[in-house]
Amino acid sequence: MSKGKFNLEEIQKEWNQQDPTIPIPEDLSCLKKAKNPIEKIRRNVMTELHVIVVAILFLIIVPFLKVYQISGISELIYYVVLFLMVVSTLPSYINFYSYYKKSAGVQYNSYRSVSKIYYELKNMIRIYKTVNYVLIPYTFILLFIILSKGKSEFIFQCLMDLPGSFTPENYVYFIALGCVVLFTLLAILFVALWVKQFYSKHLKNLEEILNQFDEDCE
Amino acid sequence: MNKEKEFLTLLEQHKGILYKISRMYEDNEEEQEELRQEIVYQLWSSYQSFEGKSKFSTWMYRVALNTVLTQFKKGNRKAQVETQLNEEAYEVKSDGSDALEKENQLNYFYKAVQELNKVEKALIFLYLEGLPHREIAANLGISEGNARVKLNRTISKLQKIVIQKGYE
Repeated sequence: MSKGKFNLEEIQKEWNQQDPTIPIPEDLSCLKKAKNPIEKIRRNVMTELHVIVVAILFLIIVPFLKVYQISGISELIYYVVLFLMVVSTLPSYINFYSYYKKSAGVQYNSYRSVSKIYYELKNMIRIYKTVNYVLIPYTFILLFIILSKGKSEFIFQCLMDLPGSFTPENYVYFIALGCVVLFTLLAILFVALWVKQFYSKHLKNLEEILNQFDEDCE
Repeated sequence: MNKEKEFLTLLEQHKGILYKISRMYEDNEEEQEELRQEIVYQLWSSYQSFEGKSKFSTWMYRVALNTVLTQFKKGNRKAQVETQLNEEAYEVKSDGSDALEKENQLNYFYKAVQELNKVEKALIFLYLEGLPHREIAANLGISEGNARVKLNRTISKLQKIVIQKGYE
């Protein structure tokens, strides 16, 4: 390093003599929001939750809008599905909210802090996936009812009268229903890939840090 | 003195920690600045719960290290920085003066440190800050024996890097 050998004591002397000229902010209100990926994930998830809540509120009033012609058995199925959707995802929303409100734990020792973030993120990703998997089929059924503009009632009646409903005139509706199932499966696959691409990589990075702590422990 | 002023005064007194830790963890000046902003943000966010039971510097080490340990670059950006690092020839500016020689030594050190992993950087950082093994272990959350072993291995690794890269 110098003309002699690498000497950490020598480095330490220079280390202590460093005179930094970095600026310290005069006003903390100008501090930018955290760019830490974990914090970003927390914020993104919370934003998504707000969008879902607004969407659910909108879905409640849709059958009242005459343009969608939702009535009879379709209306009943619509509200049952909506109710199931809200009930089955509500515990996850509560979990999400508590995760968002929790501190990042930056004041613990490093190992504990990284572990805490790792396990919380892992749990959050698991819940996130579950919520989305549950939401997708419900959403497609609701969309199917909304977008069919009154025809869904007829389709549901046909479904209740299987197999007598399989007539050349009706098969097109069953194809449409088959498409809903197919799109549901594709959407689930998309969510899985989405989570892997954007959320799981941070989990891997944290796991790597934890492994660095565990090296030499054996 | 209000909380914000008090915090800023303490930060000004301990800005050396900010400077050194950002140089240890980032080679690029722009990224060092970003990292410092992130650390200051985390410090200020956690300051309300700082009770003053420990020294400000002790608390600052913890928050700053935990921030850098959970800070990750985007994949392509990391690759870009690494390429840049490898391409740099670590040129020596030498006019024979002692001051410049010392500056070069420290610059070389910071370059060599970039080859270490995050936990190894934390160990070296706390060691150079003069913390005893017991405190290094407490900060990182590992046993004192483990801290000792890890530190020795990291120093050896750093020596090898220095030799390999021809910084001696």
